[in-house]
Amino acid sequence: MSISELQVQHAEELPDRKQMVTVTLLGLPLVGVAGVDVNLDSSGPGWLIQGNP
Amino acid sequence: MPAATPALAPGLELLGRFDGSGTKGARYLIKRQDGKMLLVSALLYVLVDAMRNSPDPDRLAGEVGRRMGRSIGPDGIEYLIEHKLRPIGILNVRQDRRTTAPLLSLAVSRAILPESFVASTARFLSIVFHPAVAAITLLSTGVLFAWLWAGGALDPQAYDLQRPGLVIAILALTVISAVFHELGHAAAAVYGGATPGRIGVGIYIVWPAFYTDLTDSYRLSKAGRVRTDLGGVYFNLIFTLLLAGANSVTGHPVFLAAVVIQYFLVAVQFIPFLRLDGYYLLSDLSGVPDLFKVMRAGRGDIRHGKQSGAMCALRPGIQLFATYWMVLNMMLTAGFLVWFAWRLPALPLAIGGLFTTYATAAGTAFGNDAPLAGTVAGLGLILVGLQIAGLGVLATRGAARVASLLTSR
Repeated sequence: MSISELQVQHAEELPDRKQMVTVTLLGLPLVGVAGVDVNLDSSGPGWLIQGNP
Repeated sequence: MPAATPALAPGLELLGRFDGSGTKGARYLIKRQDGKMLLVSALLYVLVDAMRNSPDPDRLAGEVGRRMGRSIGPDGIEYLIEHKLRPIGILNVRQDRRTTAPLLSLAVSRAILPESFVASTARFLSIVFHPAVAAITLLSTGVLFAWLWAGGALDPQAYDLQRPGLVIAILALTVISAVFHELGHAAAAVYGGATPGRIGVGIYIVWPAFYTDLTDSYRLSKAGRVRTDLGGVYFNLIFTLLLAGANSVTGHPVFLAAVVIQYFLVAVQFIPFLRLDGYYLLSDLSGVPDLFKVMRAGRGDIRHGKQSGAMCALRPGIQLFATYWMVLNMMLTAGFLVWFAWRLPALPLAIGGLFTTYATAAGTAFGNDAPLAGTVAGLGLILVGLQIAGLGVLATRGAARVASLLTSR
């Protein structure tokens, strides 16, 4: 085998496969808007989870 | 008489042919004791196999030459060992190996579920990949989606999300679903015959992320790897069924709102330009384990005006696909940079507005003795901050790539 054939032999350390999920990317569209309304019911203990009317 | 070749590192596993490779010649897998996977040509694989029996270069040359049907001398064997095997850490010698972090990879990670727990849980959950179970599950998720769509329930604005308790509940369900997503990858890997590693949390660019170490899944067939890639979103779909079940039992709409969030989560996972599931899916379908590395080589080719080995080694169809993917990636980066530059003058004001809105909401809530509302507003503040930081980092990296492409020749 010629040296050029030996030079092109493939040897590679593969990257680790860390398959990810990030919930924070869901907030990405926020940056596309000029402003948002934050309309939280902050008047008192009414913020406990209740059934939707 | 030539000196004996260095011994192989202990604990090497020769795993055979890498199924579905996108390269012109076949590729073979070797697993190192530290869990790292190595991809080598047939000649190097045969050489490593032969080195397990003899360290003598003459005998190795004879053995390798016979098995490959080609003549190779002891000098050739020594060349391969020194220039090909030594750099990938396959020899039993001490060496300082410098490795560069793969492009857009996870930085800073910490395990939250150990390997043994992940393996046993994944083994239990892997039953959902049985074809009959999978068919029923997918059919059910299709029916659920159609039902929500027909009822106009896919619009997030259909839900009253002003109550902070609901926001916190949805957030908690989404975080739980993210861990479940990771177990889906692990279960799919086990179903195929691979051993999943730990599940952990880390920082991806700037965003906190859950991950599963699926390095061992390189050993799977192409179908097994694709199943592993899709295992996460498959578990998100299972999660939507569980949420719909909770809704039917309690009648509470928070569970349906969480279902809608799941659909968005699944859609985000298919972005193919970040190292998310969509990227790995393309990588496995094309048989190119590190598409970003090929892209980096392709950019070098453009810069230097010649084709490098990385692109040339691919089969013509895969070469075309990798080129399209690279061009699309570059166009997207350019488009993003134009958008960023266009928005830049207005951005400080918009960001300031967002921060003020959330900070005011948080201040008002805490002032009114409503800590949960304050917490939600605070989380919103953090979320906005993360998006801005993430886009800033991506823009800086993209600009640096474009600059290096334009300036160096």
